Amino acid sequence: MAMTEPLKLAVVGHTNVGKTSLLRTLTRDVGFGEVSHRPSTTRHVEGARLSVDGEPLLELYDTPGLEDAIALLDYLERLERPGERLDGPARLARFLQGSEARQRFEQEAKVLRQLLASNAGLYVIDAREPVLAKYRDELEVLASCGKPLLPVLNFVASSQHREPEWREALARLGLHALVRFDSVAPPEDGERRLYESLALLLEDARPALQRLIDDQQAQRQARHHSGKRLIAELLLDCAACRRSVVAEPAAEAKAIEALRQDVRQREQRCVEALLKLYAFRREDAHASDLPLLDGRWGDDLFNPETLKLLGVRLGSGVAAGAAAGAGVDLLVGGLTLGAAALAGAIAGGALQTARNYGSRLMGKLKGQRELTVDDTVLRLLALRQQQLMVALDNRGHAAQDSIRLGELDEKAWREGKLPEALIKARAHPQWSTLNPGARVNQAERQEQLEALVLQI
Amino acid sequence: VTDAGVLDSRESRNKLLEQLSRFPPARLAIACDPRRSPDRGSLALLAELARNAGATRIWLLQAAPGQALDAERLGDWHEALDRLGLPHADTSPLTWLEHGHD
Repeated sequence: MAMTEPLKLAVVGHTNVGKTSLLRTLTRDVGFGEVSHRPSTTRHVEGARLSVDGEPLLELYDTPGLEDAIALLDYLERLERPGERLDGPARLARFLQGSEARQRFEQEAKVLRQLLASNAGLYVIDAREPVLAKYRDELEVLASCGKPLLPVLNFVASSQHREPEWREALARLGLHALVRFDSVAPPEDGERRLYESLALLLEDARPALQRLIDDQQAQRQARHHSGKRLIAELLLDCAACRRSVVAEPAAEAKAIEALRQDVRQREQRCVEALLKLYAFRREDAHASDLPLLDGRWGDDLFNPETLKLLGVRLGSGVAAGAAAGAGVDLLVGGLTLGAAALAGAIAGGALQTARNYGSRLMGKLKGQRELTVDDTVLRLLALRQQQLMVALDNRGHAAQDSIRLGELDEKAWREGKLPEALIKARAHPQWSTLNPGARVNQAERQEQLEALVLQI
Repeated sequence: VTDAGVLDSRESRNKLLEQLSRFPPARLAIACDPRRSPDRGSLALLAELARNAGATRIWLLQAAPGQALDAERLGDWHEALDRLGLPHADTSPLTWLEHGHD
């Protein structure tokens, strides 16, 4: 059965438990609402809509935090006249018509109105908190709306969480279904579990929720592939980059600095594209433990320390060059300055290079040297960008602190042979957008790019 | 000096408020755990308790050994208590309770 109306969910809970953060993560919108450590940051109900193929499936409403449920429950109980017995919704209706709903309990009234207008509520819990009476009273007030409530345990990634206590307390209140969902470090299948638990409470909404689950799975895979492609483009650009320099010290120094600058900028473009792909803003990268500082890498690509940090072995370029018989190669901090005529031989085989350059060009190159990006730098770029992608993929859209970066075990990128596609690219300067006259639509380049994507 | 107990539930709150209104103490010290959020309900309770005593001081408990308090949240407590005009410190006000001075 298709739903005609989108499913409406109210996100409710005590002040400062991360309701807005949960919404940011579920909507992948870092700009949603306002988040701060202060109590009652959210003052009004704010909504967000999730659609699939243009069809709205789910509406999520952020609500102000409940702050005085003990007094509210006390007040609600005194609303009953002698000899009268009201059920939950009837009592709430009387409260919402009264003057206290506009005064002392204005914030609570907004929450209850929204929950009454929704199909269900997500009750967000800071699992680090002890189960206090005020939370139990809060749940009692919310339960009197007569809507299904799904408790969401937030901050379960913290070492100080009290999940068992909360589970027991919720069970005593008749709430047996619950989901763990850390909005800062959401589990990989967190959203799926959340929507599946909701489907148990709201049978009619199951088809819509299943569509959301399927769509998000597909989006995640698509993001993964796009991210790998961005990294592959970066690596190919840098591997294929080749500049000839007049064999004269001042010209060489200038060209080296220019190429370094271009590679740094190219990497930054990749960082920004990845941030955008994962719907993070450049400023979100700051104050987080993404491996970035203010949206850029704090460690310079050409600093030998950076290589050590990521465990990349230095000097593989020298070794490769020596093996190819190009003893004249100089390693200039991440770049290789080789003899022009031999440059191709180092990279991709002499014959192939000669073909690619053409004999006229080969002649021109005499008295010149060739500047290329060293293997170690390619390794570093591959490792850094993959690390960033993992971090972005695991990060919730809740701009707070604490998420641990898993150690990326990419031994292959650290010390193994570089992928075939990159070795080929060495002999195709026209594949690099860093070179003048780049021809990025060449079929062979596309083919190598796809092959490279599979190795990332 | 009397221990007024732990205020957790509505019942314990109401009982103490009733007692205080009948026998208002000259000095009242309230210990608060600043790991909790200084929400409207908690602040209203502190204000109401303070109204029933000659003088009130808030004791913001220190973190357990090996743990640290969230500086931002502690700042929120200071700000909220200043707004209520309630003096606060992170040390025990027991001497003050007994003698009326530090």
